[in-house]
Amino acid sequence: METMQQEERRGLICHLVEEMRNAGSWVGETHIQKCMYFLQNMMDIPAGYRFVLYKHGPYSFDLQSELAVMTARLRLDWELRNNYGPSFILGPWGEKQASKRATKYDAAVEFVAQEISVKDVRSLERISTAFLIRTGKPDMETTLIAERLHEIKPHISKEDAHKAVRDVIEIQKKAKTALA
Amino acid sequence: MAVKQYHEIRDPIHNFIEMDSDERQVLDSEPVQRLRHIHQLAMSYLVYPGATHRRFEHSLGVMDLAGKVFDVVTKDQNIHSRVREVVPQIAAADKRNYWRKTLRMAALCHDIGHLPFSHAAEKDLLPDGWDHEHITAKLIQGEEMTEIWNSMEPLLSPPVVAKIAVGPNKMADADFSKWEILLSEIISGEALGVDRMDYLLRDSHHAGVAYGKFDHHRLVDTMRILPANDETDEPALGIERGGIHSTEALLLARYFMFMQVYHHSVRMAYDFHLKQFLQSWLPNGRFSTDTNEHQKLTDNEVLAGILEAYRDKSDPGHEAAVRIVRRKHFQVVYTLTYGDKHNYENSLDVIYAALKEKYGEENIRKHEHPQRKPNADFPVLNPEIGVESSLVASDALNKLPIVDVGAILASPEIREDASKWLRANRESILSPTRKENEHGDDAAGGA
Repeated sequence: METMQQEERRGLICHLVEEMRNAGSWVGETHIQKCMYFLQNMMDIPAGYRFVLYKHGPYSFDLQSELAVMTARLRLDWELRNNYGPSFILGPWGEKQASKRATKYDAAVEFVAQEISVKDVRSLERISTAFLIRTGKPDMETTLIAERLHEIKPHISKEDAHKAVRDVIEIQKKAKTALA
Repeated sequence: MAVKQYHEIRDPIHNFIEMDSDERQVLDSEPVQRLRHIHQLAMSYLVYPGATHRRFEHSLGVMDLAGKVFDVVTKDQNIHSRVREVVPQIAAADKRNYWRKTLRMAALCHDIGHLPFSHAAEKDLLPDGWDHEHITAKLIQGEEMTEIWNSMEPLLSPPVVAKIAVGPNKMADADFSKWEILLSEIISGEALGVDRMDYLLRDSHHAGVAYGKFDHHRLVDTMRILPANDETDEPALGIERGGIHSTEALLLARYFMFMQVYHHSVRMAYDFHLKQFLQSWLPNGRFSTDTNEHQKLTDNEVLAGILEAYRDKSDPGHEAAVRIVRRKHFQVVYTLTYGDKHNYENSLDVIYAALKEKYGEENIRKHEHPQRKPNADFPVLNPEIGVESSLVASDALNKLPIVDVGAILASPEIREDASKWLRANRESILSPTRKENEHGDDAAGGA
């Protein structure tokens, strides 16, 4: 599948930020990172970001850079909502940029905003890392995924790791139904 | 007579830099010695004549600062209880020497992959997917350096030194432990990395500008590894409250240095001319990623090539060489402003396209550098509250301006005419992209 062009990709991000905000998400950088990870890797949207396993699970330095450039170019902005740090909002050119997205991905964006973006950072780390471990290994036993998750991220208890695996399987099922 | 185990090197920024004999061995290796011939600021010396310093002394400075930060953040009284649980290595006395040594070596080697004239032509003249950090990692794990790592006590691991030198962004396939991520942050962290601290201080000193100065002694003393925020135990490099003003000064220094030194329009013009020359001079117009070839090429060879091409009219690099040697560089005809960014969609691209159409592609160049890293958001330990975001702790950091440089340059042969033409036609070029205001009128419309 061909990777989307820059203007379209930035349109997708602006639309995602709008939808996340409508869904009641905090819209911190971690939330956007994980939503984009699921959009790209669960919903097969060809945004073309390279994700590596980092502090809170899968993370894209390319996306980090894109968010910074979009802020510098007034597509995005941020505000402080409490002691946790910046929360993204659209900048003066954000709405115009959102109009450049491919609308065929709107249902996926809405799904991710509703189901993923409203979770807290700890949950996002667990489910995204569980999904990363499971990617490309659909037959891997859930117990093994949970064990691997606990091994990679020892601060995630075994119980929480099992729950994260169950959650991510459930999200995948829901996504299939919602986007069918 | 006993063999000297510790060595001191004089440095204009850090006064004396101390090193042991193992570090001296790495310093004397070919990849590190090569940095004596790579200008830190490319051809900025054609704008700021004092800016002739090299990557070599910067690498020493980064090693020195990295060691100092390590000593502060691993001091028992400075270790946060939640961090002690999540990253036990921070307090492991038996491994302390190993990690300190690994960090300092990584810092000393972090720039060995730099191409001639540092960043000036790196982006366009390396194969896709390559940059100087990838070459750095390859060299650290190469034959010459591995032999050195293997001769040390404690034995150092080449992949671990490489990981800490370049960070997780540049070694995507490697597994990083939390501790290794933190050590790489000490070198290249976005807000508080010592690479930046050293280059701001050093570049400012050599360029003869005051913008890059800040109280790095105070800043280093207040650095801590802290839980990123109350919502997570993930540790991050941060500061204790007392360092907030020196951090503000550091990040403002970065803003001013980017706007006034690193992206000076004349320096940008020389980057264009250097790139044009290298395309004609390098085999296949590209830099090699082979480490042996990389070692053979420094600023010296390129400068000799430029002078040769300048004297030979038939040389394919002659035109670019003349522009560099005789200072017939391109000049600015348009600078991106906040007002234009706010009022017009993509004003830089629109003006660039119009000028190219009018004067031909060969006479017009576009330079842009929007900030590619987010503004500082790091943990601050406030004794009254606990850990909070730097953006909450500091109004100055909250309002820190974002670097966004954009300019259109024209060849000196048409520059005056192009400036006049742009002044006369600017409004008609930009008006189709004007932002509509909330009433549906254009932004320049009446109330």
